Amino acid sequence: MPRSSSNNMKTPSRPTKASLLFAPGDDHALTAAKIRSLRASGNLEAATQECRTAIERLPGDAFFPRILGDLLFEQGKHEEAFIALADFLAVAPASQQDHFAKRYARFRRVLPPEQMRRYATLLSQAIAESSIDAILATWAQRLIVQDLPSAAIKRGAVPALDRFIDSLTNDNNFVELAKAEKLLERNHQDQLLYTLNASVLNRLRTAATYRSDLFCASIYERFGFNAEALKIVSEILILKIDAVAVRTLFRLCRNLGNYDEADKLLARDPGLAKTNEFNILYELAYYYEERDDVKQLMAALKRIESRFAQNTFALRTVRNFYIRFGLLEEAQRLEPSIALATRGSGKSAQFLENLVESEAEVTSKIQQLYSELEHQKQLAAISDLTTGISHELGQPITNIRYTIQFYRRAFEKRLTKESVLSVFDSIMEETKRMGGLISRLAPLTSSKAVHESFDAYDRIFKRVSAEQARLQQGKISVKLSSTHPVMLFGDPVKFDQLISNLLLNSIDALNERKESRPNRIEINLDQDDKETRLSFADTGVGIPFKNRNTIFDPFFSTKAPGKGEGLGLFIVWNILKAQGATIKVDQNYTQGAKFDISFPLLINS
Amino acid sequence: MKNTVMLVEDERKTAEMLQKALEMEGIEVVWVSDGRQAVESMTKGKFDLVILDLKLPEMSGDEALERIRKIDPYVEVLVYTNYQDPPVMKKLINIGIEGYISKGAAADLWETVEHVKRILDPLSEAEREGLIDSLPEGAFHNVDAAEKK
Repeated sequence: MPRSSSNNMKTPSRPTKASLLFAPGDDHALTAAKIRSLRASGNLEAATQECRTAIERLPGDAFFPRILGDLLFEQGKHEEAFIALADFLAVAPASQQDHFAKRYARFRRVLPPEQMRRYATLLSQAIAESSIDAILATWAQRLIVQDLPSAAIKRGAVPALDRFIDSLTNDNNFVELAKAEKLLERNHQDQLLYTLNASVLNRLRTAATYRSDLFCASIYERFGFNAEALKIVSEILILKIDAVAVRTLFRLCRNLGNYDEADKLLARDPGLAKTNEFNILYELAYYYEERDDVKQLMAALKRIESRFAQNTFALRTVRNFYIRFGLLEEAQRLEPSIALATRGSGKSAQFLENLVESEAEVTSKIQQLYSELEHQKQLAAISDLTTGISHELGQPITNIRYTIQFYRRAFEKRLTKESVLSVFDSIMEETKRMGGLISRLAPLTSSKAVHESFDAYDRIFKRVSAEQARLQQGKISVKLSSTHPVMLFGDPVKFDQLISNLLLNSIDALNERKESRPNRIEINLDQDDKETRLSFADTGVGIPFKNRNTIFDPFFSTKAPGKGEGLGLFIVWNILKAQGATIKVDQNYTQGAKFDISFPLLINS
Repeated sequence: MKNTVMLVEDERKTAEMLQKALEMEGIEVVWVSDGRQAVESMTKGKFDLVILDLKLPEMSGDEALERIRKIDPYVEVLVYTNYQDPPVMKKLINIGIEGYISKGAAADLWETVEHVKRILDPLSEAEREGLIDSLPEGAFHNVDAAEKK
């Protein structure tokens, strides 16, 4: 029986489940969509008109004046566009300050300065007279102040300002400059920023004003004008390398989310990477993390470790980095050094005992949190797995339903023998597909575990031979090495599944790689009295640093849709987990991907 | 006039059944199996409706939709998927789609066909007749006659 009797339907406009999402009467959404499509089709005038009527109909909606401004700007109608921007500011909530800042900056790029001055003056007055959101007003005024005519600030009116301007010209007056700045920052922020924009931002950098410039950059930074601060700092660094300036530049780049200036600086002065300055090394760690350069990142951290072995603060910082990257063993390794450094710092014995103890507890606490997190991750993995499976099963189910539904209706008219057979075949095919998914997941589900001793080398060799066709097709050479015969105790079928999944993962990674480099897989077995180590390396595309925590998630795949379902490494991880074994990505390996697997040696095996 | 629908679907069987069912109802169907082909086949005014699968090889459904909209901003689009990823759905709603149909256990071929027909032609022949019948007699010919009633 059909669930809903669509045949008897009377009203054609009856809302379906789907159309409820697009509830009629949402004027904002409908109009916005209309304007968007007009704009996309290049009909700017109609879009503008639509925007104008929307503003009349929906006063207080900040969206339409903003888009109106954009549309007018696009048509080169700058004055009207600027008025629309002012209208936007009048109704916008404070959270939209970035929208304003972005558009204001766009005007500054295209308009000649004297026109900008005129607009800025008008806007500044309008803001002062209006009752717009106070936070937004202050923010907007700070931006606008840079374009106001200099007459806005009169010399002689504020003594501190005069002293500030006079002291800017030479670093010999630095003490005076700092004092005046303090006063201005408290009482005349607008004028201070205006002065910086007018007198410092675009002036020539000289050795005689190096310190003042750096100081002014720090004022900009304090007020949140990171781009201005960065401009000054990157300019003075061309003149001379200064540790504080270098560190500031990196920090500004980090906060702006753009390391271009840092790249330029490092290209000019590669020696900076070898610095012994703690604060620069600290920023370099962030920089290398952003640049996905694990090798340099670890080098920077190791450098701090060795240069500042006696410094609790520095060591703790490094430890925190390790914790951030999830490198808990590295973090733990540092604990004794931190304790030692703390002990040596000459504080009272009792106090120190506590401190050292609490320090040591931090990492173990984090370790505990991590394992809880691991549990959370497992739950999330189950949810991902369920979503993925329902998605994968959805296709064949749809096909079966559609096929039956179609031929059921066709049957009412006329059904041939061929079409009945094709229905049967189709359903068989779809069930085969569902079965395929289930057997793909079998390594995770079958609980009947066999425990026996087997030769690991032997089984790996057989798996590699089984993939011979694919390996040859990809021109991939496999090197399998083992120090001596390695016996493992466990389920040999699971072990085969583990190796097969790792092999297929590597083959895919090799086939995906663009640069030319020999296609190689290296498998190495090694055993001592504690553990059996299996390392699995390939020269494929490798794993980006940012994916290091997600590669084992179910249905996580970087491959093109349809190229891989994203289950291989998830299965690997689960098989190993069930055996009490661990798998880690070797971060120091840069030629592709390398997995280090460790099986604990079973007692009495 | 015959309506033409572009069906963008990488599942061969799903596409085949839907195409047959729509054709049975007198709707012309052009089937393509990925986003790139969909964009290539698109010309302004050629299709009355696009039925789009979101998970597609080559080019994702939402990217394809953005490009299709650039070519023909007015074409109606029905998103056809077996998963409802909120961020993707939100984005699609912003671009403007007429609705979506679920795949999977709730998939219903003829409901889908009805949905498509409703978008293409909101009124059935009988309903059109009914509407015209419900108008006051002579509404189109004699306004005075209507006023007297």
